[in-house]
Parts: sequence; C-alpha cells; structure tokens
Amino acid sequence: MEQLKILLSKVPIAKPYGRALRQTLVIIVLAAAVGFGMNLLRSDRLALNADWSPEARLTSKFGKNIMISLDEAKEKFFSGSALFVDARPLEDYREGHIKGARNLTVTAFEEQAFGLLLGLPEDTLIVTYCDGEECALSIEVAEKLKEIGFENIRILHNGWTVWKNHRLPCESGSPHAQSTEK
Amino acid sequence: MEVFGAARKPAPGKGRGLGKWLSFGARLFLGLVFVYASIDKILHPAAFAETVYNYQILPNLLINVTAIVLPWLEFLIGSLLILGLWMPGAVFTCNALLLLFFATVLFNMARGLDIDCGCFTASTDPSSGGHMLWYLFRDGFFLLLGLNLFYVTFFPSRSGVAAMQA
Repeated sequence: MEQLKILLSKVPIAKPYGRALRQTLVIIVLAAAVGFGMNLLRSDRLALNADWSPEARLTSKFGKNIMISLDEAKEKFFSGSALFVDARPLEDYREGHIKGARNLTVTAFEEQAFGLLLGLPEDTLIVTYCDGEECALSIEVAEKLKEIGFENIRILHNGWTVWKNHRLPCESGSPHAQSTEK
Repeated sequence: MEVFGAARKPAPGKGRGLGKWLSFGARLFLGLVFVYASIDKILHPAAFAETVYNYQILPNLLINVTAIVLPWLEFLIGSLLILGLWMPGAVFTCNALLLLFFATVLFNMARGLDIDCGCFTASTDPSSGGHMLWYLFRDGFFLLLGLNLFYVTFFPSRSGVAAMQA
C-alpha cells in the first residue's frame, strides 16, 4: 500500500476525484429531485411505472386496441376483404412478405402512399404489419394512414414472423404494381 | 463544504495558448449541446420515453423514470459546463453519459436494431438504418471532446492548462 501511494504521488494527476464523485452524486440527486418534482406539476405527467405492452401502447395512440388476431387476419386475407401493408424497409419486404401485401414505409410514405391508396375508399380495412415483438413501424404507418383519413386500420403484431411460422401464404420480390385492386 | 470549492477555482481553459482555447471551446460546445438536447426531452417526456423504449435495453420499469430524470441531468451538466462550475463533477458525469450513449448506439448497431423504430432489420437501405452510422459518428465526436475535457481537468500539469486544485 505504501508503494502504491508513492507510485500514485509520482503520477501528475490533480486530485479532484473525491470531489468529482461528491459533485456527481449531488448533480444526480438534484436532477432526480427536479425531474420528479416537475413531473408532478405537469398536467401530462408520466406514470412512474407505465404499461408498455403492445395493447397499452396502441390504446394510448389510437384510443382503442386496434390489434388484429392472427385468426381474424387469416379470415380477412382469404376473403380478400383487407389490404395488407408491409411497413418494413424495402429490402426486408423483398426478401419475403405476406402474399399480396403492399410495401409502405414511414420514411417514404408520401411518395408511396399516393400511388398505393389513390381511389381506395377510406373505409377500406388496412392491416399493417412489421416484424419483431417491439417493432413500431406498423404503428407508425398506421398513424400516418389515420392522418390522411383512413380510420379502419388494424395492426398484426409481429406480423411477418407470426404469418411465416403458421405457414400462411408468402411471397418475395419487388413491390406489386401500385394499383387499387384488392 | 469542499464540494462547492470548485466554484472558486479557475475552470479548465485558463492555461496557455491553443490548448486553452480548444478546451474552452470544447467545454462551451458540449455544454450547449447538452442544454439544447435536454430542452425537447423536458418539454415532451412521453415522446422521449418512447425513444428510450425503442432502445430496448432498459426494463419497462425504468423507462419512464429515465425519461423523467435524464433530461434534467443533461440540462444540469450542460449548465455547469457553460458556467464552468463544479467542473470535476460535471466533466465526469458528462463523459459517463457520452460513453453510455456511444456504447448504446454501438450495441444496437451490432444487433441490427434501428433505434428510431425499435425494430430489427438487416436492411442496408440508408433510409432505414443509415442514420445509425450518423448517430455513431456524432456521439463519437462528442465523446472525443468530452475526453479532452476530462484530460484537461484531471491531468492539468500534463495538458498545460491551469490545474483544478484539490
């Protein structure tokens, strides 16, 4: 220990480490106090322990849970009564997607939506999906569709994986021609 | 109380020449970045909570707590850097946060997670994931500035900048 002290004394470091740690502690405590205090005063305060389940998130954004079950999505698919929209990047869409699904991404929404949705009645059932338990792309595309007037939207949670795992009709390749055929 | 002692000591950047001005510039720049970054998060905590959620690192229990506390931590650190107060603590915390942000982006890039959407993608489409590289370079640049400040603060005799006296 003595040798360590001698060694450290030869290293040209200022000695503010103790002060740094004390100041750090005070800064963190102060930030927490101000943060929680300001949160209490807000009208839109955040709950300390929120529900981050997919259902809760959808209800928060759309006022109701617009998730569609796989069975219902299957029924809509085989009856041809829904337009399926793949919200994933083009590259992922090309590798594989639900048969007949159109590709509509958040980043290129304005360019893609016009051709895809032109002439489509606003009460058309649109099922958006992406891939992954936490993927929010389908939700973001659904929000954008709602903004432009499409209210009949459902979301197939973790759609691509779930659809594939149940060996339902899939295909790969480039996006379908942008038409209003259903 | 010694913790307040730093307020009476000269802030880094009061040493000689170019090094002094670089350090002063780094301190001011990082301070402004932190304050600027904190404002939107303070005004829109719900949106920031969504961002934290999309990183898919923290357990759900800590997401809102982080969204409430972290912006004010950034604001405090930024203010202290700009004012040159409590420099050891501010620089230490600043670097800890910058290292954390950088490591988080790197980790999510490695596992193919697009933090803007919370989705995993193998896509190399720039519109889908190119911004992750931008985040990495941006955070890496900030980290370099932070490390410069750290060096000046904790190794003053080597850096040639006025010491933060113990």
